[in-house]
Amino acid sequence: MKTLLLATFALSLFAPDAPALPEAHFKVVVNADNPVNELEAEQIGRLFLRQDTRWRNGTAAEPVDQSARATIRSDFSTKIHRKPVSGIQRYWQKQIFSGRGTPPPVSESDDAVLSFVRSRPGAIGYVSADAEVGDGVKIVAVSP
Amino acid sequence: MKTSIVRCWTAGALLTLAAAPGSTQGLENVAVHGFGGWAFAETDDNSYLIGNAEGAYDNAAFALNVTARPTENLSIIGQFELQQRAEFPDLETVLDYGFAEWKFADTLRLRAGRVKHPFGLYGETFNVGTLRPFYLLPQSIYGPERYTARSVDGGALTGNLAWGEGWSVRYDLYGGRISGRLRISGIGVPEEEPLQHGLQEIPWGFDDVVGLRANLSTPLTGLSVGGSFYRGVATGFFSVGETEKVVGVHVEYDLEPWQVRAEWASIFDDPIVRFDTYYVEVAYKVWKGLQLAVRWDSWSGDIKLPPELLPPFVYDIQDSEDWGLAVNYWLDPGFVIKLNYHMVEGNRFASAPVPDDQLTNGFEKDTSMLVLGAQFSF
Repeated sequence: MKTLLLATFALSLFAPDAPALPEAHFKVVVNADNPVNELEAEQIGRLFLRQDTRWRNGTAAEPVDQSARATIRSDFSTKIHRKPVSGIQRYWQKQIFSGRGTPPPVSESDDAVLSFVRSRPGAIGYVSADAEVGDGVKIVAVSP
Repeated sequence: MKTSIVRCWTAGALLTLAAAPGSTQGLENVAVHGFGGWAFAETDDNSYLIGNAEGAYDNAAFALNVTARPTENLSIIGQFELQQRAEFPDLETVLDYGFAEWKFADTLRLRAGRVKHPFGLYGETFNVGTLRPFYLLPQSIYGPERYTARSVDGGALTGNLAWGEGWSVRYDLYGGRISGRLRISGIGVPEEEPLQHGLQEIPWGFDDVVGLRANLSTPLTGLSVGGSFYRGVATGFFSVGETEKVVGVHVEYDLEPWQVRAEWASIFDDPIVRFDTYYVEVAYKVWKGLQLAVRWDSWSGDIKLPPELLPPFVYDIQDSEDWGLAVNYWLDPGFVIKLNYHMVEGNRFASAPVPDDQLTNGFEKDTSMLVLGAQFSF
């Protein structure tokens, strides 16, 4: 027990600081009917990890991810989850095989993400910083 | 041997196709996943877990996991596994778990049926090789011992509580019956259980189990700590009818390139034996998918019976210390090739190549094993 406590303390000394969010190369989008205008990175992370499954108004949250090979996925994972994509994939392996849940669906492009978000009131996704989101989708501000 | 492996993998492939018409993960409310692996293992003398002195190729496993969500709050989840082990050549088919879950809220979910046994870090993901650096789990806690079972037949409450700033806890409260197979080297207690390569598999279990596990995630990304506890009335061959308690604590730091884990567990109130078990494993990705790892895994038992009641060899199998070294290459988080080397002192999990030697003359106290294998998940 004492060894474990010492190990915990020792590990904490090497833990890296959280990366700064303002340099993100993506923007987070939700359905235009969603009353949310701003979210903390941690809240977004919990939605995508399906630890929170509802919005405050009671609507079911429906995250949509991008391909594990996409650069934007890597940026999102590092900024929001503070882990590389492989770490999140390992999280989902644990969830799946312990019977706790399955990962969000994956869309292969910004357009596919926007289409998904536009069609579902509880959807949340992320697209490239320079993507045109169009009608039915709104961008939410992300705070660290 | 070759036939057995082909049979295992063929059955797995057919099950995958049968369970997933159209695509493996395509249906909106049904998800199909799986995992498996194969390994060759060779020892210097004794048989040890999946290896023997001749070199064992007969180690293969495949599991299929299906999750269905008929409604937003209801999930039906099942997982079964096909397993081929060198020392027990019959192909095993095991229902890992099958249960229904009703979500009242993210903080409270009710499960009923055969649910995974929530214990420690690996208790729910026993054979998922892509979640660990070594082909084999640390045997001290997750080996053929009376701690962790595949499942709990009964019910469970589980949920996540978050306080912000990175703090959150996941809890599991469960009750019912747990059971498993205890592998014993050479004691030969129940005559009806066949001895294979000096090993016996003996059923064990606990009735009237009540247990709890809690895992605390900290603001330090990747760092979590937790504890597990359960009590129950022993069934099977040892300490039948006794109420026993099991407790464990764990810590994990999982943030690439590092993976560090440590656990300790012990059983209390067993009138025959007390054992303490712990391990520490450290893995580091040195370059792309190349990972190096080291693990120290220790089991020590203390028999409470007077020495004159037991044959001397029983005292030879009350310790095991396993130093493991690993060189792995991850082609993807879902596919890894592993080269592991184990240096084992003590024979708790080893057995003599000739069973009679074990019962009469004892056997080598040191065992080395080389494992070359691949594990995957999807």
